[in-house]
Amino acid sequence: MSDLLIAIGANVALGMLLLPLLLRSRTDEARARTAAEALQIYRRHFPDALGTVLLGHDGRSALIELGGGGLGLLQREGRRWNARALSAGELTDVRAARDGSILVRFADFGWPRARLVPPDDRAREAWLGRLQHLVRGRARAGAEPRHA
Amino acid sequence: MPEPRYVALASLVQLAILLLIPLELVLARRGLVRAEYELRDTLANVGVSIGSIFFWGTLSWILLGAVTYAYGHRLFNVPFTAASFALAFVLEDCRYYWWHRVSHRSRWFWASHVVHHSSQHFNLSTNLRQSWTSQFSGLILLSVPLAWLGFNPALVGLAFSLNLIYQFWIHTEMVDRMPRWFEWLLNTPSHHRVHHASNPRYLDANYAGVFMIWDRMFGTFVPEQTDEPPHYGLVKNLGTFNPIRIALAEYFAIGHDVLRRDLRFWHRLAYFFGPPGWSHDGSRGTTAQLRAREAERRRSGGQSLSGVQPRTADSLALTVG
Repeated sequence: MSDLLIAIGANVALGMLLLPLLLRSRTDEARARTAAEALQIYRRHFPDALGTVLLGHDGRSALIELGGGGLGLLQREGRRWNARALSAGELTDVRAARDGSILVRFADFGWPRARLVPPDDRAREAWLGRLQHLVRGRARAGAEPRHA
Repeated sequence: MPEPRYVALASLVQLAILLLIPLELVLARRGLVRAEYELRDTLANVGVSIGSIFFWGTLSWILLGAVTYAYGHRLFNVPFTAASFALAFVLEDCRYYWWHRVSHRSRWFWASHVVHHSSQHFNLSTNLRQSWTSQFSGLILLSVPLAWLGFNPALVGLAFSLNLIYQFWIHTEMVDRMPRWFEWLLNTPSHHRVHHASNPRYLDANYAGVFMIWDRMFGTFVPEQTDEPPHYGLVKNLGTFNPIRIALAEYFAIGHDVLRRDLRFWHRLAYFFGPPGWSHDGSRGTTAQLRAREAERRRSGGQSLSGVQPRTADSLALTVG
């Protein structure tokens, strides 16, 4: 048991040692400046994707209207990007936040939520409507094609 | 009997080499070496490590019990000598290769091992991101045959520890290439960067712990290409830095798939034990399928995953926010 505590203690100490070093490191995070750049990033994950890119105001997220009615999501994860093709029933909740952003919850333990910042109010309403079609219980089964 | 002392020494060395992590970070900050650290990613690694040590320590009786039982019914009496240690080290490395290969090829075992691959960064702290469930996935029992053959469990434990210690230094971008003979014989940062990459060309390759000969022998060796830099992480990356979510995400994903309606029994079985990426409707891709799609894309003149360029403006309708 003492060995176990020593090993855990060593990791805690390591974390405490790393924390100030990490805090003093560069804090730049991933950000897409243009829709073309966002699509290029999305296509690292889904190489054949083509569509209309709706880039978030903060450059940290984007929705991609894929052909055939599909919808893709690009989301910043620190200095990296995550991408997924959204399918019907995959979202458990979509709501507008007071700061103008949209909060999305997924039925996915490993990627539970995302925050999108639409460029303006009109876009926000459009994005909300688009995403709410994919919320579990509201989505028509099979209405959205899966992106392979 | 001196054997446990060696194992304790190996544990101390493991603790000491943790200090190489802040050293790499400091050197990278000063621009002396290539390494990318991110606050939340590194702290997540430390958090996962604490959980891993806890579960490894509290459940180690499973492995110890099995190994002790097997040694009690051993086939031969292998002496505790330098030669037998060398033999145990090579056999343990072969065991590691197959453990690692199975861990990548069957989703139940992948659910445990995926934790180690879930970071999109690759630095010495990636070592810390280890499974919480390795003791009860069942695959740990691959360690039993060496004891059953007659190798002293302490000797096996020492070989196991040294194997892991060796693998610490290969989780880095600091080192480009080692001398050719070294790259041929041993696992190196270059080979392991390939192993941690999600590019289709690099998927499910370079499983070796110490000796690359296993990959060369069994056809899983893939060299790092200078024109295709590795993209670290998973085919479908996690969207969280929460250690609990990182450690258990794939189990939840399996549960989600297995409990779907309108599946046949063998579909559920395949979601459980089939290759990662398998799906009954073809909506995802196994390594073989992803490689085939990538090959087709290259043949048809399309862009590879790593070399994506935007299409011409007239083929896109872009809305800039």
